[in-house]
Amino acid sequence: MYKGISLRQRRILDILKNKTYSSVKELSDELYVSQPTMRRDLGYLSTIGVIDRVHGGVRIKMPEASFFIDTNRYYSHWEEKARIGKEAAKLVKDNDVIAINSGTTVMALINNLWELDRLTVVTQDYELAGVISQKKEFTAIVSGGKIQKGITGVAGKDGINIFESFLFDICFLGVSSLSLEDGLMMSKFSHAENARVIISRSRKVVILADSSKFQRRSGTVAAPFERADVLITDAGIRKKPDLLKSIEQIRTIDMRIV
Amino acid sequence: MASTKVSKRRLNILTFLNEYLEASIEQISDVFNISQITARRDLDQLCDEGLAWKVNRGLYTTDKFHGQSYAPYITVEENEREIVSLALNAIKNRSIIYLSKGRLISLLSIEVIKNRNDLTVITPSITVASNFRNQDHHDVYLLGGAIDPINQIVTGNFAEKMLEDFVIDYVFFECKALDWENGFLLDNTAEVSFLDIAYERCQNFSLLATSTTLATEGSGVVLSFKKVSKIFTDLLIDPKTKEKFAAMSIETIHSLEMDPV
Repeated sequence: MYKGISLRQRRILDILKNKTYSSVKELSDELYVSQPTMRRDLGYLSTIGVIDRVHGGVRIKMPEASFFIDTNRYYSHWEEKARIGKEAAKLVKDNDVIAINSGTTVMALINNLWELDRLTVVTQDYELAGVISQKKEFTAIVSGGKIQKGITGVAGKDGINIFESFLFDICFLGVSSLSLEDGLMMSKFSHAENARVIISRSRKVVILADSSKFQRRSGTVAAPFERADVLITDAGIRKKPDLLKSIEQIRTIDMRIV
Repeated sequence: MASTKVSKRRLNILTFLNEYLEASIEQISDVFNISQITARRDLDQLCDEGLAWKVNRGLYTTDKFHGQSYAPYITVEENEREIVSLALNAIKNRSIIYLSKGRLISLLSIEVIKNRNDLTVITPSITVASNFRNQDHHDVYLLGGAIDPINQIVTGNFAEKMLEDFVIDYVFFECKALDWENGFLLDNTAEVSFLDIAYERCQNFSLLATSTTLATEGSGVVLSFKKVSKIFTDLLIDPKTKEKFAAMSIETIHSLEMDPV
């Protein structure tokens, strides 16, 4: 159901960040848990690829781990988002200039991009930009503006100026909701404004939306539904066959179900 | 019967809070499939029982010291705490402040969140911006531009242009060392060029520095002594250093020495 990393697992990463290497015993002593419990936590962390198990202990993997250290976020529909992010990453090539708005869905994309040699990312999400900047071959640019509570995206005219000065190979947008009737929706007016500019400056528009996002909800319209070139969602959409069929009829949209 | 069900749900909520860093009323109502009103009531009751804490509006945690885990600082030295609280005293509600980057500045931002209202904060630092993520009683603006990975601050023309839009009451910054011939030494040019722009609008520059930093001579990017009006430091500052600053009409502020018992 809800799988990000737990508070204790995050603490483990915090400790490892300062030490690089630590033994299982040291960690279990420091966090007051038994060694089997610690091994279970470490097992999970190595499954999600943020630590390496080495003889007698573990070593942190950067920048993969910084994704979890620097963004203490809560993820709903984590597994779906992780799959969507992985699929989206396949669309990115070396040396691309990409735009990303903000939110947990696009966040999941980032952790699949570390293999690339070079990349320029422009985003309204400052935590995401901070994480991306940690790979030195990557250029991370954050659009400036006002910070909004509970959201790590900034908004405002200065941010729009930054997006306008680029031409993107591809953009990845998370949305608050979407429907054929209303289009691609953002919960904040200012984020819809950013999205409109990003879309107008991008050669390819990729919408990332887990199936829970397909509903009619109030918000600000960023673009009509047909403006999406690629739509990546999860298998939950098969439960809405009518909707699926109508989307498939739109020839210009490349829909990918993961 | 009903009451055991409720307490079991509260226990589950507590376990959830324990597993995750923090959770909001909406998230709890979403996860446990209960109304937001019920979620709030359960969370508030956990707070009353001393098992959970409210971080700020709408966010709950089981980690009592969560307020401090806003920033990844496990231990804060006594002298740092002192410097930060002195600087905080200089900030009035409803003023416009510029926070540069660094450990003390980040700590100051956390104190500002806890103790001040209606400030406008401008910063080039991702860390400082992140600290303000879960609050809405201050207006916070992050400058935009390419990120310097080492310092985690934005750089470049866009940021400079954006900064020019603000008239600022107080500027707070940190240095890494000083050079008596030239001035305070910072570790990157972007930060100094922002400070130069801010100086055109605001002559109220405050430096936060430990006495150790003020005793360090080194190399770096220069910010002229002339621009700085106050230094917040700790009581271990060398009196001679203090005199030298006074001669340049820089006020040195530190806490008073403890009376011998």
